[in-house]
Amino acid sequence: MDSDGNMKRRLLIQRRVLGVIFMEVFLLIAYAFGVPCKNPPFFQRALEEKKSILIILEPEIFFCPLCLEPVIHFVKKLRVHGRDCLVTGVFIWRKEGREKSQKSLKIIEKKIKGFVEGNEIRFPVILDKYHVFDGLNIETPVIILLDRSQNEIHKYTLPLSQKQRGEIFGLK
Amino acid sequence: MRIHRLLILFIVMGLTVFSFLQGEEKLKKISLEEVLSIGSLESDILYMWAGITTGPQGHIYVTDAMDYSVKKFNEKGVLVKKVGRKGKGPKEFLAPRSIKYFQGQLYVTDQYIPGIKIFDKNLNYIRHIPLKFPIWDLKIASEEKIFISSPIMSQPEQLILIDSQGKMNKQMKQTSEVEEYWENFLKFEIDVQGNLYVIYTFRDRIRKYNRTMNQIWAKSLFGHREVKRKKLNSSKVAAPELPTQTAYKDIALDSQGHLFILGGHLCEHPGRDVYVLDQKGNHLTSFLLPESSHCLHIDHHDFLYSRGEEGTSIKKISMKYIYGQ
Repeated sequence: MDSDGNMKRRLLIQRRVLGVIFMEVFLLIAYAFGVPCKNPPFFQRALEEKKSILIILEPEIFFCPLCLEPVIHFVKKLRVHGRDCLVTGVFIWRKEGREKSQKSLKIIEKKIKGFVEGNEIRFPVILDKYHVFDGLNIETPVIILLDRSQNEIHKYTLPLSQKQRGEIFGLK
Repeated sequence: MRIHRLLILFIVMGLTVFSFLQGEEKLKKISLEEVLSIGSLESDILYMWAGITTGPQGHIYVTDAMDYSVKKFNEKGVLVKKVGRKGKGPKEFLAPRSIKYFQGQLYVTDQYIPGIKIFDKNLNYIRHIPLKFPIWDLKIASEEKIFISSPIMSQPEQLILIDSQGKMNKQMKQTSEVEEYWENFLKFEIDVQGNLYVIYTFRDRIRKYNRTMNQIWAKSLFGHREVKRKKLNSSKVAAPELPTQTAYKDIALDSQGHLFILGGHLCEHPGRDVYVLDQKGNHLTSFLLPESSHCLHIDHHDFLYSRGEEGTSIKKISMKYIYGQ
């Protein structure tokens, strides 16, 4: 009876351990394919096509909901076309004219977080805190398409023309 | 008995004289002390608040422009409830702005969705007042008397009175001097007697009207200085010039009828200088907010609310009134 009881207990433990392992593996797979892009076939296609998109914005856009609208519209289109996994958002943080303090940096980072949450943005959005893009003179949001397959870089300003939309969403 | 009567008479006379002298004393200074700060750089409860109002039990309600929401905080600054997301539906916003508490209901405006959304004090959606124009400022005198200012060009009348269904009862034109549509950007307060105090966002002008809309006084704090303007990039010869600065940012009344006016770019510290006027328009005193703010709110207990850390926090400030002859 004792040995039977031990056996049953051992089997139960084994099943539990296996269950946990299976769950972990399942979560890893789900994370690998599900989180970075909600649409794995598009994700794979995007990798094959070797293209990526940068959306470059000035933080002043937060104070102009009307200026923000084309960006939000573009982001929605990206999602519909399953292209949001190709995108990285960049907020320029110019060196000049800003209070160079940790506090102002934190404020802008917090606003970006609110922007991402409020607009349900799924791609990464980074603040250019080392002023890499300071030289870029932009008045309206800029889209940069990095086309590694063609060895080309294209710059667009929002709102996009139909031809530009085709180039970006069609990824031809 | 006679001595007693004389004593009572003496005390009454003394109190009368004392209260008379007290009445003669004027507000000389206001000192500020921060009593509560809601939101911080580390927390995610506020991203960029736009409008603020308070309920009688000390609850604080704000609109947050960044995550398209209305938020309710308790008197200790704890987030109790949040409602809203991006969109045009009943509980959705595109650019939430003004919020006013009136008799257990919250009236919320959106820069891009005409009309007023009404919520109960627990942020449950009740209904929508349909309107065809955007709202710059609003005050609720009663459920059937809602005053609105709107910057729309087609209607130069500056204050509009609507009922609970959005039906326009009256268009109150204050002046015939309106030349440009941006002069219709005005904020206002209504005191207990029904007098109206108006500030112009882009013009150095403050006015008081009685309830029949007759002007009582007009005032300028900066010698009628003009705000900076910029000509629009246009190929047309007569490209319009638009203001790039503000003269006044907000107006609030305390329980004693003092008028608090938040200065814009014409003052030394834009968004920080607050001018306190009496009901006759006399400048009593000024004070400096700890940080630049886009708006002012004074609750029933004369606590002042202003912006902190560029809209990522709210500062609740106790005001100590110092009187003198």
